[in-house]
Amino acid sequence: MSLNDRTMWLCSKFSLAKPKEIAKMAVPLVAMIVMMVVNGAAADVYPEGETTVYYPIFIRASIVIYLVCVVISIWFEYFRRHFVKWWGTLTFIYLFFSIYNLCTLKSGMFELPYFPSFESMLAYVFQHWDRTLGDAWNSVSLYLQGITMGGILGFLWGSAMGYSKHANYWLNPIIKIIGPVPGVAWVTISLVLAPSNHVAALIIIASTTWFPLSVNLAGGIRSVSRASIEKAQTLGASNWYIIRHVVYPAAAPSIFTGLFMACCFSLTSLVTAELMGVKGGLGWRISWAQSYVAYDIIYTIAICFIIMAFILITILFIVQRHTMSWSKEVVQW
Amino acid sequence: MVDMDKKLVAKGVRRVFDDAEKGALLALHDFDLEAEHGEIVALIGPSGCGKSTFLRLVAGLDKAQGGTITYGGEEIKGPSYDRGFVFQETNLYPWLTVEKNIAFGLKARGVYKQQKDRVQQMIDLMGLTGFEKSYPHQISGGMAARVAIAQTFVQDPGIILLDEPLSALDAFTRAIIQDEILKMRDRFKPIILMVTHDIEEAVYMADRVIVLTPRPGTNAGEVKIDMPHPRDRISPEFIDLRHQIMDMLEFD
Repeated sequence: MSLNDRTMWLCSKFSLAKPKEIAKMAVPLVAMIVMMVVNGAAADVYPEGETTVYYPIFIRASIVIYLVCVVISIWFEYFRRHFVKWWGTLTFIYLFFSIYNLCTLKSGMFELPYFPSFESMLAYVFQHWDRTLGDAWNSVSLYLQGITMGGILGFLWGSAMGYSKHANYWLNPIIKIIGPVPGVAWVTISLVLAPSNHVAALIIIASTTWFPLSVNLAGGIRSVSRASIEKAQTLGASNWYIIRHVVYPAAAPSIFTGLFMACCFSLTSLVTAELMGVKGGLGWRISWAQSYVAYDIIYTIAICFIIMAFILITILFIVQRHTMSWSKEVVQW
Repeated sequence: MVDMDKKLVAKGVRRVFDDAEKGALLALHDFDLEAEHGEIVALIGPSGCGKSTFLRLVAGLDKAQGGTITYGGEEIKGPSYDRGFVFQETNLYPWLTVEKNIAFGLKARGVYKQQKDRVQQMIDLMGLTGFEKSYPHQISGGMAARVAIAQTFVQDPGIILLDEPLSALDAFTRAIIQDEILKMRDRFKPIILMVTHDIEEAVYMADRVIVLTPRPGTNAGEVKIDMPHPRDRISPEFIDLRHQIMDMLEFD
Protein backbone atom coordinates (compact mmCIF):
# COMPACT_ATOMS: atom_id res chain seq x y z
CA MET A 1 0.00 0.00 0.00
CA SER A 2 1.60 3.27 -1.05
CA LEU A 3 1.55 6.34 1.13
CA ASN A 4 -1.08 7.88 -1.07
CA ASP A 5 -3.28 4.79 -0.84
CA ARG A 6 -2.91 4.79 2.91
CA THR A 7 -3.97 8.42 3.18
CA MET A 8 -6.96 7.68 0.99
CA TRP A 9 -7.85 4.68 3.14
CA LEU A 10 -7.61 6.70 6.34
CA CYS A 11 -9.70 9.48 4.83
CA SER A 12 -12.37 6.95 3.95
CA LYS A 13 -12.43 5.82 7.61
CA PHE A 14 -12.41 9.31 9.07
CA SER A 15 -15.16 11.44 7.71
CA LEU A 16 -17.15 13.90 9.73
CA ALA A 17 -20.80 13.20 10.43
CA LYS A 18 -23.34 15.10 8.35
CA PRO A 19 -25.87 17.41 10.10
CA LYS A 20 -28.67 14.95 9.35
CA GLU A 21 -26.76 12.14 11.01
CA ILE A 22 -25.96 14.28 14.03
CA ALA A 23 -29.67 15.14 14.35
CA LYS A 24 -30.57 11.45 14.25
CA MET A 25 -28.00 10.65 16.91
CA ALA A 26 -29.37 13.46 19.11
CA VAL A 27 -32.91 12.05 19.26
CA PRO A 28 -32.21 9.04 21.55
CA LEU A 29 -30.14 11.33 23.75
CA VAL A 30 -33.16 13.60 24.18
CA ALA A 31 -35.23 10.53 25.05
CA MET A 32 -32.70 9.58 27.73
CA ILE A 33 -32.74 13.07 29.19
CA VAL A 34 -36.55 12.92 29.24
CA MET A 35 -36.22 9.61 31.05
CA MET A 36 -33.97 11.21 33.68
CA VAL A 37 -36.19 14.29 34.10
CA VAL A 38 -39.37 12.21 34.41
CA ASN A 39 -37.76 10.00 37.04
CA GLY A 40 -36.45 12.98 39.02
CA ALA A 41 -39.61 15.05 38.85
CA ALA A 42 -42.21 12.43 39.76
CA ALA A 43 -42.26 11.00 43.26
CA ASP A 44 -41.96 7.26 43.94
CA VAL A 45 -45.37 6.25 45.28
CA TYR A 46 -45.96 2.59 44.48
CA PRO A 47 -45.32 0.44 46.43
CA GLU A 48 -44.97 2.59 49.46
CA GLY A 49 -41.47 2.95 50.76
CA GLU A 50 -39.75 1.91 47.49
CA THR A 51 -37.10 4.38 46.34
CA THR A 52 -35.15 4.43 43.14
CA VAL A 53 -31.51 3.55 43.58
CA TYR A 54 -30.43 1.56 40.56
CA TYR A 55 -32.64 3.15 37.94
CA PRO A 56 -30.87 6.55 37.99
CA ILE A 57 -27.52 4.74 37.80
CA PHE A 58 -28.80 2.83 34.81
CA ILE A 59 -29.93 6.05 33.08
CA ARG A 60 -26.62 7.82 33.71
CA ALA A 61 -24.63 4.80 32.56
CA SER A 62 -26.77 4.65 29.40
CA ILE A 63 -26.14 8.32 28.71
CA VAL A 64 -22.38 7.99 29.21
CA ILE A 65 -22.12 4.92 26.99
CA TYR A 66 -24.28 6.58 24.37
CA LEU A 67 -22.18 9.74 24.40
CA VAL A 68 -19.00 7.72 23.94
CA CYS A 69 -20.58 6.03 20.93
CA VAL A 70 -21.65 9.40 19.55
CA VAL A 71 -18.14 10.81 19.88
CA ILE A 72 -16.68 7.78 18.11
CA SER A 73 -19.22 7.94 15.32
CA ILE A 74 -18.72 11.64 14.65
CA TRP A 75 -15.32 10.76 13.19
CA PHE A 76 -15.41 7.07 12.29
CA GLU A 77 -17.60 6.44 9.32
CA TYR A 78 -17.75 2.66 9.59
CA PHE A 79 -18.95 2.75 13.20
CA ARG A 80 -21.35 5.58 12.44
CA ARG A 81 -23.04 3.71 9.58
CA HIS A 82 -24.02 0.93 11.95
CA PHE A 83 -24.73 3.14 14.93
CA VAL A 84 -26.95 5.83 13.40
CA LYS A 85 -29.53 3.38 12.07
CA TRP A 86 -30.43 2.38 15.65
CA TRP A 87 -31.69 5.87 16.48
CA GLY A 88 -35.37 5.00 16.08
CA THR A 89 -35.19 1.74 18.01
CA LEU A 90 -33.24 3.31 20.88
CA THR A 91 -35.61 6.28 21.09
CA PHE A 92 -38.57 3.92 21.25
CA ILE A 93 -36.94 1.81 23.97
CA TYR A 94 -36.07 4.81 26.17
CA LEU A 95 -39.51 6.38 25.77
CA PHE A 96 -41.03 3.05 26.64
CA PHE A 97 -38.88 2.95 29.81
CA SER A 98 -40.23 6.40 30.82
CA ILE A 99 -43.85 5.45 30.21
CA TYR A 100 -43.45 2.13 32.00
CA ASN A 101 -41.76 3.90 34.90
CA LEU A 102 -44.68 6.34 35.11
CA CYS A 103 -47.23 3.53 35.04
CA THR A 104 -45.55 1.44 37.75
CA LEU A 105 -43.38 3.09 40.37
CA LYS A 106 -44.61 6.62 39.82
CA SER A 107 -48.38 5.99 39.88
CA GLY A 108 -49.24 2.38 40.53
CA MET A 109 -51.46 2.28 37.46
CA PHE A 110 -50.04 -1.17 36.65
CA GLU A 111 -50.50 -3.38 39.66
CA LEU A 112 -48.05 -5.55 41.49
CA PRO A 113 -47.00 -8.28 41.49
CA TYR A 114 -47.71 -8.67 37.78
CA PHE A 115 -45.95 -5.48 36.67
CA PRO A 116 -42.79 -4.95 38.68
CA SER A 117 -40.94 -1.66 38.21
CA PHE A 118 -37.62 -1.44 36.38
CA GLU A 119 -36.12 -0.45 39.66
CA SER A 120 -36.92 -3.85 41.17
CA MET A 121 -35.66 -5.70 38.11
CA LEU A 122 -32.43 -3.75 38.09
CA ALA A 123 -32.13 -4.29 41.83
CA TYR A 124 -32.26 -8.05 41.27
CA VAL A 125 -29.50 -7.92 38.65
CA PHE A 126 -27.30 -5.61 40.72
CA GLN A 127 -27.80 -7.42 44.03
CA HIS A 128 -27.59 -10.93 42.59
CA TRP A 129 -25.31 -10.37 39.64
CA ASP A 130 -23.22 -13.47 40.49
CA ARG A 131 -26.32 -15.65 40.61
CA THR A 132 -27.63 -14.19 37.35
CA LEU A 133 -24.30 -14.66 35.59
CA GLY A 134 -24.13 -18.19 36.94
CA ASP A 135 -27.61 -18.93 35.62
CA ALA A 136 -26.73 -17.48 32.23
CA TRP A 137 -23.52 -19.51 32.12
CA ASN A 138 -25.37 -22.71 33.07
CA SER A 139 -27.86 -22.13 30.31
CA VAL A 140 -25.26 -21.25 27.69
CA SER A 141 -23.10 -24.25 28.55
CA LEU A 142 -26.03 -26.69 28.56
CA TYR A 143 -27.28 -25.19 25.30
CA LEU A 144 -23.87 -25.35 23.61
CA GLN A 145 -23.31 -28.94 24.74
CA GLY A 146 -26.76 -29.89 23.46
CA ILE A 147 -26.46 -28.25 20.08
CA THR A 148 -22.93 -29.56 19.60
CA MET A 149 -24.17 -33.10 20.23
CA GLY A 150 -27.23 -32.60 18.05
CA GLY A 151 -25.15 -30.77 15.46
CA ILE A 152 -22.64 -33.60 15.06
CA LEU A 153 -25.41 -36.17 14.92
CA GLY A 154 -27.42 -34.05 12.48
CA PHE A 155 -24.39 -33.52 10.27
CA LEU A 156 -23.63 -37.22 10.04
CA TRP A 157 -27.31 -38.17 9.72
CA GLY A 158 -28.02 -35.56 7.04
CA SER A 159 -24.85 -36.46 5.14
CA ALA A 160 -25.74 -40.13 5.15
CA MET A 161 -29.29 -39.38 3.98
CA GLY A 162 -28.02 -37.02 1.32
CA TYR A 163 -25.38 -39.32 -0.17
CA SER A 164 -26.75 -42.79 0.13
CA LYS A 165 -30.10 -44.08 -1.05
CA HIS A 166 -29.79 -47.07 1.28
CA ALA A 167 -29.08 -44.90 4.30
CA ASN A 168 -31.96 -42.66 3.29
CA TYR A 169 -34.30 -45.66 3.14
CA TRP A 170 -33.65 -46.49 6.79
CA LEU A 171 -32.97 -43.07 8.27
CA ASN A 172 -35.71 -41.05 6.59
CA PRO A 173 -38.67 -42.80 8.29
CA ILE A 174 -37.02 -42.33 11.69
CA ILE A 175 -36.62 -38.62 11.11
CA LYS A 176 -40.15 -38.33 9.77
CA ILE A 177 -41.63 -39.97 12.85
CA ILE A 178 -39.37 -38.67 15.61
CA GLY A 179 -38.20 -35.38 14.16
CA PRO A 180 -41.30 -33.20 14.48
CA VAL A 181 -42.03 -34.22 18.08
CA PRO A 182 -41.35 -31.23 20.35
CA GLY A 183 -38.74 -31.47 23.10
CA VAL A 184 -41.35 -31.26 25.88
CA ALA A 185 -42.83 -34.57 24.80
CA TRP A 186 -39.54 -36.33 25.49
CA VAL A 187 -39.17 -35.19 29.10
CA THR A 188 -40.49 -38.33 30.78
CA ILE A 189 -39.02 -40.80 28.31
CA SER A 190 -35.58 -39.22 28.35
CA LEU A 191 -35.61 -39.15 32.15
CA VAL A 192 -36.31 -42.87 32.17
CA LEU A 193 -33.80 -43.79 29.47
CA ALA A 194 -30.90 -41.46 30.27
CA PRO A 195 -28.32 -42.37 32.93
CA SER A 196 -28.50 -38.90 34.48
CA ASN A 197 -30.71 -35.83 34.40
CA HIS A 198 -27.95 -33.88 32.70
CA VAL A 199 -27.82 -36.40 29.87
CA ALA A 200 -31.61 -36.35 29.65
CA ALA A 201 -31.50 -32.57 29.26
CA LEU A 202 -28.85 -32.89 26.56
CA ILE A 203 -30.94 -35.46 24.68
CA ILE A 204 -33.90 -33.08 24.60
CA ILE A 205 -31.84 -30.18 23.24
CA ALA A 206 -29.89 -32.38 20.82
CA SER A 207 -33.07 -33.90 19.39
CA THR A 208 -34.34 -30.49 18.31
CA THR A 209 -30.97 -29.61 16.76
CA TRP A 210 -30.57 -32.91 14.97
CA PHE A 211 -33.93 -32.76 13.19
CA PRO A 212 -33.83 -29.46 11.25
CA LEU A 213 -30.11 -29.76 10.54
CA SER A 214 -30.25 -33.24 9.05
CA VAL A 215 -33.38 -32.54 6.99
CA ASN A 216 -31.90 -29.36 5.52
CA LEU A 217 -28.46 -30.83 4.99
CA ALA A 218 -29.80 -33.93 3.24
CA GLY A 219 -31.91 -31.72 0.97
CA GLY A 220 -28.94 -29.48 0.30
CA ILE A 221 -26.68 -32.36 -0.65
CA ARG A 222 -29.31 -33.92 -2.89
CA SER A 223 -29.87 -30.67 -4.75
CA VAL A 224 -26.21 -30.16 -5.66
CA SER A 225 -26.29 -30.12 -9.43
CA ARG A 226 -24.85 -33.13 -11.21
CA ALA A 227 -23.15 -30.78 -13.64
CA SER A 228 -20.99 -29.16 -10.97
CA ILE A 229 -19.87 -32.59 -9.76
CA GLU A 230 -19.16 -33.80 -13.29
CA LYS A 231 -17.21 -30.66 -13.97
CA ALA A 232 -15.00 -31.32 -10.94
CA GLN A 233 -14.49 -34.89 -12.17
CA THR A 234 -13.30 -33.69 -15.57
CA LEU A 235 -10.95 -31.27 -13.80
CA GLY A 236 -9.29 -34.21 -12.07
CA ALA A 237 -10.85 -34.01 -8.60
CA SER A 238 -11.15 -37.18 -6.53
CA ASN A 239 -14.47 -38.15 -4.94
CA TRP A 240 -13.26 -37.12 -1.49
CA TYR A 241 -12.08 -33.76 -2.85
CA ILE A 242 -15.47 -33.26 -4.52
CA ILE A 243 -17.29 -33.97 -1.26
CA ARG A 244 -15.21 -31.41 0.62
CA HIS A 245 -14.83 -28.75 -2.03
CA VAL A 246 -17.99 -28.99 -4.11
CA VAL A 247 -20.80 -30.77 -2.25
CA TYR A 248 -20.52 -29.10 1.17
CA PRO A 249 -19.88 -25.58 -0.14
CA ALA A 250 -22.84 -25.98 -2.51
CA ALA A 251 -24.98 -27.22 0.38
CA ALA A 252 -23.79 -24.43 2.69
CA PRO A 253 -26.94 -22.30 2.31
CA SER A 254 -29.06 -25.27 3.42
CA ILE A 255 -26.66 -26.03 6.25
CA PHE A 256 -27.01 -22.49 7.57
CA THR A 257 -30.79 -22.55 7.24
CA GLY A 258 -30.76 -25.82 9.17
CA LEU A 259 -28.46 -24.39 11.83
CA PHE A 260 -30.62 -21.30 12.19
CA MET A 261 -33.76 -23.38 12.66
CA ALA A 262 -31.88 -25.73 14.99
CA CYS A 263 -30.68 -22.85 17.15
CA CYS A 264 -34.19 -21.41 17.44
CA PHE A 265 -35.93 -24.74 18.17
CA SER A 266 -33.27 -25.69 20.67
CA LEU A 267 -33.77 -22.52 22.69
CA THR A 268 -37.30 -23.73 23.37
CA SER A 269 -36.01 -27.15 24.36
CA LEU A 270 -33.43 -25.51 26.60
CA VAL A 271 -36.17 -24.10 28.83
CA THR A 272 -37.89 -27.49 28.87
CA ALA A 273 -34.64 -29.27 29.64
CA GLU A 274 -33.90 -26.93 32.52
CA LEU A 275 -37.18 -27.88 34.20
CA MET A 276 -35.76 -31.26 35.08
CA GLY A 277 -32.99 -31.94 37.48
CA VAL A 278 -30.51 -29.22 36.59
CA LYS A 279 -29.52 -26.95 39.47
CA GLY A 280 -29.39 -23.59 37.77
CA GLY A 281 -29.94 -21.84 34.48
CA LEU A 282 -32.21 -19.15 33.18
CA GLY A 283 -35.16 -21.46 32.51
CA TRP A 284 -34.72 -23.10 35.87
CA ARG A 285 -34.62 -19.69 37.59
CA ILE A 286 -37.92 -18.73 35.96
CA SER A 287 -39.71 -21.77 37.35
CA TRP A 288 -38.01 -21.19 40.71
CA ALA A 289 -39.22 -17.56 40.73
CA GLN A 290 -42.72 -18.68 39.77
CA SER A 291 -43.05 -20.56 43.02
CA TYR A 292 -42.22 -17.35 44.90
CA VAL A 293 -44.51 -15.27 42.69
CA ALA A 294 -41.41 -13.13 42.09
CA TYR A 295 -42.45 -11.50 38.84
CA ASP A 296 -39.55 -9.07 38.90
CA ILE A 297 -37.17 -12.03 38.69
CA ILE A 298 -39.22 -13.67 35.94
CA TYR A 299 -39.14 -10.47 33.87
CA THR A 300 -35.44 -9.96 34.49
CA ILE A 301 -34.55 -13.51 33.52
CA ALA A 302 -36.76 -13.28 30.45
CA ILE A 303 -34.80 -10.21 29.34
CA CYS A 304 -31.51 -12.01 30.03
CA PHE A 305 -32.80 -14.92 27.96
CA ILE A 306 -33.66 -12.59 25.07
CA ILE A 307 -30.19 -11.04 25.20
CA MET A 308 -28.53 -14.46 25.30
CA ALA A 309 -30.58 -15.76 22.36
CA PHE A 310 -29.92 -12.58 20.41
CA ILE A 311 -26.16 -12.87 20.93
CA LEU A 312 -26.09 -16.56 19.96
CA ILE A 313 -28.11 -16.11 16.79
CA THR A 314 -26.18 -12.97 15.88
CA ILE A 315 -22.89 -14.89 16.16
CA LEU A 316 -24.32 -17.55 13.85
CA PHE A 317 -25.26 -14.91 11.30
CA ILE A 318 -21.90 -13.19 11.50
CA VAL A 319 -20.27 -16.52 10.72
CA GLN A 320 -22.74 -17.04 7.90
CA ARG A 321 -22.09 -13.60 6.44
CA HIS A 322 -18.37 -14.22 6.40
CA THR A 323 -18.49 -17.70 4.92
CA MET A 324 -21.34 -17.05 2.51
CA SER A 325 -20.43 -13.66 1.12
CA TRP A 326 -20.77 -15.18 -2.35
CA SER A 327 -24.45 -16.00 -1.99
CA LYS A 328 -27.55 -13.88 -1.78
CA GLU A 329 -29.95 -16.73 -1.18
CA VAL A 330 -29.55 -17.07 2.56
CA VAL A 331 -31.79 -16.30 5.53
CA GLN A 332 -31.17 -12.72 6.62
CA TRP A 333 -31.11 -11.67 10.25
CA MET B 1 3.66 -31.59 -21.62
CA VAL B 2 1.17 -33.27 -23.89
CA ASP B 3 2.30 -36.04 -26.20
CA MET B 4 1.49 -34.66 -29.64
CA ASP B 5 1.45 -38.04 -31.38
CA LYS B 6 -1.50 -39.35 -29.38
CA LYS B 7 -4.67 -39.77 -31.39
CA LEU B 8 -8.27 -39.89 -30.39
CA VAL B 9 -9.95 -42.82 -32.13
CA ALA B 10 -13.61 -43.77 -31.83
CA LYS B 11 -14.93 -46.83 -33.64
CA GLY B 12 -18.48 -48.11 -33.94
CA VAL B 13 -19.64 -46.22 -30.85
CA ARG B 14 -23.13 -47.05 -29.68
CA ARG B 15 -25.11 -45.62 -26.77
CA VAL B 16 -28.61 -46.67 -25.76
CA PHE B 17 -30.61 -44.88 -23.07
CA ASP B 18 -33.17 -46.72 -21.01
CA ASP B 19 -36.21 -44.53 -20.79
CA ALA B 20 -38.98 -45.58 -18.43
CA GLU B 21 -41.72 -44.24 -20.73
CA LYS B 22 -40.33 -44.56 -24.24
CA GLY B 23 -38.35 -47.76 -23.68
CA ALA B 24 -34.85 -48.14 -25.06
CA LEU B 25 -33.68 -45.08 -26.96
CA LEU B 26 -30.81 -45.48 -29.39
CA ALA B 27 -28.91 -42.18 -29.26
CA LEU B 28 -25.69 -43.00 -31.05
CA HIS B 29 -25.14 -45.83 -33.49
CA ASP B 30 -21.97 -47.02 -35.15
CA PHE B 31 -20.25 -43.67 -34.93
CA ASP B 32 -16.61 -43.26 -35.99
CA LEU B 33 -14.21 -40.41 -35.43
CA GLU B 34 -10.49 -39.81 -35.50
CA ALA B 35 -8.72 -36.65 -34.41
CA GLU B 36 -5.15 -35.42 -34.01
CA HIS B 37 -3.47 -32.85 -31.85
CA GLY B 38 -3.82 -29.26 -32.96
CA GLU B 39 -7.03 -30.09 -34.77
CA ILE B 40 -10.48 -28.65 -34.14
CA VAL B 41 -13.26 -31.03 -35.11
CA ALA B 42 -16.82 -29.71 -35.04
CA LEU B 43 -19.78 -32.07 -34.58
CA ILE B 44 -22.95 -30.76 -36.10
CA GLY B 45 -26.36 -32.35 -36.47
CA PRO B 46 -30.03 -32.07 -35.62
CA SER B 47 -31.17 -31.89 -31.98
CA GLY B 48 -30.95 -35.18 -30.15
CA CYS B 49 -28.55 -36.79 -32.62
CA GLY B 50 -26.13 -37.74 -29.88
CA LYS B 51 -23.43 -35.08 -30.36
CA SER B 52 -23.30 -34.17 -26.70
CA THR B 53 -23.63 -37.83 -25.76
CA PHE B 54 -20.48 -38.53 -27.73
CA LEU B 55 -18.59 -35.74 -25.92
CA ARG B 56 -19.68 -37.19 -22.59
CA LEU B 57 -18.39 -40.62 -23.67
CA VAL B 58 -15.01 -39.13 -24.60
CA ALA B 59 -14.91 -37.29 -21.28
CA GLY B 60 -15.56 -40.56 -19.47
CA LEU B 61 -18.71 -39.23 -17.83
CA ASP B 62 -20.78 -41.89 -19.56
CA LYS B 63 -20.20 -45.40 -20.87
CA ALA B 64 -20.79 -46.69 -24.38
CA GLN B 65 -22.61 -49.98 -24.91
CA GLY B 66 -20.70 -50.79 -28.04
CA GLY B 67 -17.57 -49.81 -29.93
CA THR B 68 -14.35 -48.39 -28.54
CA ILE B 69 -12.99 -44.96 -27.79
CA THR B 70 -9.23 -44.74 -27.30
CA TYR B 71 -6.83 -41.90 -26.72
CA GLY B 72 -3.18 -42.68 -27.41
CA GLY B 73 -4.15 -46.34 -27.73
CA GLU B 74 -5.65 -46.51 -24.24
CA GLU B 75 -9.32 -47.07 -23.75
CA ILE B 76 -11.23 -44.32 -21.97
CA LYS B 77 -12.61 -45.63 -18.71
CA GLY B 78 -13.54 -42.61 -16.60
CA PRO B 79 -13.12 -38.87 -16.28
CA SER B 80 -9.64 -37.40 -16.26
CA TYR B 81 -8.16 -33.90 -16.25
CA ASP B 82 -6.47 -34.90 -19.51
CA ARG B 83 -9.87 -34.63 -21.21
CA GLY B 84 -11.25 -31.23 -20.25
CA PHE B 85 -14.94 -30.50 -20.69
CA VAL B 86 -16.42 -27.04 -21.14
CA PHE B 87 -20.14 -27.31 -20.44
CA GLN B 88 -23.00 -25.44 -22.06
CA GLU B 89 -23.79 -23.78 -18.73
CA THR B 90 -20.60 -22.36 -17.32
CA ASN B 91 -21.22 -24.08 -13.96
CA LEU B 92 -18.64 -21.95 -12.19
CA TYR B 93 -18.40 -22.54 -8.46
CA PRO B 94 -20.19 -19.50 -7.01
CA TRP B 95 -18.29 -19.66 -3.72
CA LEU B 96 -14.92 -19.32 -5.45
CA THR B 97 -13.43 -16.19 -6.99
CA VAL B 98 -12.50 -16.14 -10.68
CA GLU B 99 -8.90 -16.92 -9.78
CA LYS B 100 -9.82 -19.82 -7.49
CA ASN B 101 -12.30 -21.20 -10.02
CA ILE B 102 -9.49 -21.33 -12.58
CA ALA B 103 -7.10 -22.90 -10.06
CA PHE B 104 -9.69 -25.50 -8.95
CA GLY B 105 -8.35 -28.40 -11.04
CA LEU B 106 -4.70 -27.69 -10.23
CA LYS B 107 -5.53 -27.65 -6.52
CA ALA B 108 -7.64 -30.79 -6.76
CA ARG B 109 -4.72 -32.61 -8.36
CA GLY B 110 -2.24 -31.22 -5.85
CA VAL B 111 -0.07 -29.49 -8.46
CA TYR B 112 -1.11 -25.92 -7.69
CA LYS B 113 2.16 -24.93 -6.00
CA GLN B 114 4.29 -26.03 -8.95
CA GLN B 115 1.98 -24.59 -11.61
CA LYS B 116 0.75 -21.45 -9.86
CA ASP B 117 2.08 -19.20 -12.64
CA ARG B 118 -0.19 -20.86 -15.17
CA VAL B 119 -3.26 -19.44 -13.42
CA GLN B 120 -2.15 -15.83 -13.85
CA GLN B 121 -0.97 -16.58 -17.38
CA MET B 122 -4.42 -17.95 -18.22
CA ILE B 123 -6.14 -14.95 -16.60
CA ASP B 124 -4.07 -12.61 -18.78
CA LEU B 125 -4.57 -14.70 -21.92
CA MET B 126 -8.36 -14.77 -21.53
CA GLY B 127 -8.60 -11.04 -20.79
CA LEU B 128 -9.72 -11.56 -17.20
CA THR B 129 -7.06 -9.35 -15.63
CA GLY B 130 -8.55 -7.19 -12.90
CA PHE B 131 -11.36 -9.67 -12.20
CA GLU B 132 -9.28 -12.22 -10.28
CA LYS B 133 -11.00 -11.49 -6.99
CA SER B 134 -14.55 -11.18 -8.41
CA TYR B 135 -17.19 -13.79 -7.68
CA PRO B 136 -19.17 -15.41 -10.51
CA HIS B 137 -22.31 -13.41 -9.70
CA GLN B 138 -20.33 -10.21 -10.18
CA ILE B 139 -19.19 -10.89 -13.76
CA SER B 140 -20.99 -10.95 -17.12
CA GLY B 141 -22.00 -14.04 -19.08
CA GLY B 142 -19.14 -13.53 -21.50
CA MET B 143 -16.65 -13.30 -18.65
CA ALA B 144 -18.10 -16.44 -17.09
CA ALA B 145 -17.65 -18.31 -20.38
CA ARG B 146 -14.02 -17.15 -20.47
CA VAL B 147 -13.46 -18.39 -16.92
CA ALA B 148 -14.98 -21.77 -17.80
CA ILE B 149 -12.67 -22.07 -20.80
CA ALA B 150 -9.65 -20.99 -18.73
CA GLN B 151 -10.57 -23.55 -16.04
CA THR B 152 -10.05 -26.28 -18.60
CA PHE B 153 -7.10 -24.90 -20.57
CA VAL B 154 -5.06 -24.17 -17.43
CA GLN B 155 -4.70 -27.92 -16.94
CA ASP B 156 -3.12 -28.33 -20.38
CA PRO B 157 -5.28 -31.34 -21.26
CA GLY B 158 -4.71 -33.46 -24.34
CA ILE B 159 -8.34 -33.21 -25.39
CA ILE B 160 -10.75 -30.34 -24.93
CA LEU B 161 -14.46 -30.95 -25.35
CA LEU B 162 -16.59 -27.90 -26.00
CA ASP B 163 -20.30 -28.53 -25.55
CA GLU B 164 -21.81 -25.35 -26.99
CA PRO B 165 -20.15 -23.16 -24.38
CA LEU B 166 -20.86 -20.02 -26.40
CA SER B 167 -24.49 -20.64 -27.31
CA ALA B 168 -25.90 -18.35 -24.60
CA LEU B 169 -23.75 -15.37 -25.57
CA ASP B 170 -24.50 -12.46 -27.85
CA ALA B 171 -22.99 -12.60 -31.36
CA PHE B 172 -20.35 -9.98 -30.63
CA THR B 173 -18.96 -11.63 -27.48
CA ARG B 174 -19.17 -15.00 -29.17
CA ALA B 175 -16.98 -13.82 -32.06
CA ILE B 176 -14.36 -12.50 -29.64
CA ILE B 177 -14.25 -15.71 -27.59
CA GLN B 178 -14.08 -17.83 -30.76
CA ASP B 179 -10.86 -15.99 -31.62
CA GLU B 180 -9.58 -16.50 -28.08
CA ILE B 181 -10.18 -20.25 -28.33
CA LEU B 182 -8.28 -20.32 -31.64
CA LYS B 183 -5.43 -18.44 -29.97
CA MET B 184 -5.36 -21.01 -27.17
CA ARG B 185 -5.41 -23.83 -29.69
CA ASP B 186 -2.33 -22.41 -31.45
CA ARG B 187 -0.55 -22.15 -28.13
CA PHE B 188 -1.39 -25.49 -26.49
CA LYS B 189 -2.28 -27.65 -29.53
CA PRO B 190 -4.82 -29.96 -27.87
CA ILE B 191 -7.39 -32.00 -29.75
CA ILE B 192 -10.55 -29.90 -29.67
CA LEU B 193 -13.94 -31.49 -30.25
CA MET B 194 -16.77 -28.99 -30.37
CA VAL B 195 -20.49 -29.48 -30.51
CA THR B 196 -22.42 -26.63 -32.03
CA HIS B 197 -25.72 -25.76 -33.66
CA ASP B 198 -24.17 -22.78 -35.34
CA ILE B 199 -22.89 -23.66 -38.81
CA GLU B 200 -21.06 -20.37 -39.08
CA GLU B 201 -19.22 -21.07 -35.84
CA ALA B 202 -18.25 -24.51 -37.09
CA VAL B 203 -16.90 -23.18 -40.41
CA TYR B 204 -15.12 -20.30 -38.69
CA MET B 205 -13.31 -22.41 -36.10
CA ALA B 206 -13.02 -26.02 -37.20
CA ASP B 207 -10.55 -27.82 -39.45
CA ARG B 208 -13.12 -30.51 -40.09
CA VAL B 209 -16.88 -30.55 -39.65
CA ILE B 210 -18.51 -33.91 -39.02
CA VAL B 211 -22.21 -34.04 -39.82
CA LEU B 212 -24.40 -36.47 -37.89
CA THR B 213 -27.73 -37.96 -38.92
CA PRO B 214 -30.88 -37.54 -36.83
CA ARG B 215 -31.35 -40.04 -33.99
CA PRO B 216 -29.80 -42.55 -33.85
CA GLY B 217 -26.80 -40.39 -34.74
CA THR B 218 -24.14 -41.73 -37.03
CA ASN B 219 -21.68 -40.26 -39.56
CA ALA B 220 -23.56 -38.53 -42.38
CA GLY B 221 -20.52 -36.92 -43.92
CA GLU B 222 -17.50 -34.78 -43.35
CA VAL B 223 -16.42 -31.38 -44.68
CA LYS B 224 -12.77 -30.35 -44.62
CA ILE B 225 -12.16 -26.65 -44.13
CA ASP B 226 -8.83 -25.61 -45.58
CA MET B 227 -9.10 -21.86 -45.13
CA PRO B 228 -6.30 -20.04 -43.30
CA HIS B 229 -7.05 -18.13 -40.07
CA PRO B 230 -8.37 -15.53 -39.51
CA ARG B 231 -11.24 -16.58 -41.73
CA ASP B 232 -13.37 -14.04 -43.50
CA ARG B 233 -17.00 -14.79 -42.65
CA ILE B 234 -18.34 -13.15 -45.81
CA SER B 235 -15.87 -14.53 -48.34
CA PRO B 236 -17.48 -16.59 -51.14
CA GLU B 237 -15.51 -19.66 -50.04
CA PHE B 238 -16.81 -19.37 -46.48
CA ILE B 239 -20.40 -18.96 -47.63
CA ASP B 240 -20.02 -21.86 -50.03
CA LEU B 241 -18.86 -24.13 -47.19
CA ARG B 242 -21.81 -23.05 -45.09
CA HIS B 243 -24.18 -24.00 -47.91
CA GLN B 244 -22.44 -27.31 -48.35
CA ILE B 245 -22.98 -28.19 -44.69
CA MET B 246 -26.55 -26.92 -44.75
CA ASP B 247 -27.32 -29.17 -47.70
CA MET B 248 -25.90 -32.13 -45.80
CA LEU B 249 -28.15 -31.33 -42.86
CA GLU B 250 -31.33 -31.59 -44.89
CA PHE B 251 -32.54 -35.03 -43.88
CA ASP B 252 -35.89 -36.26 -45.03
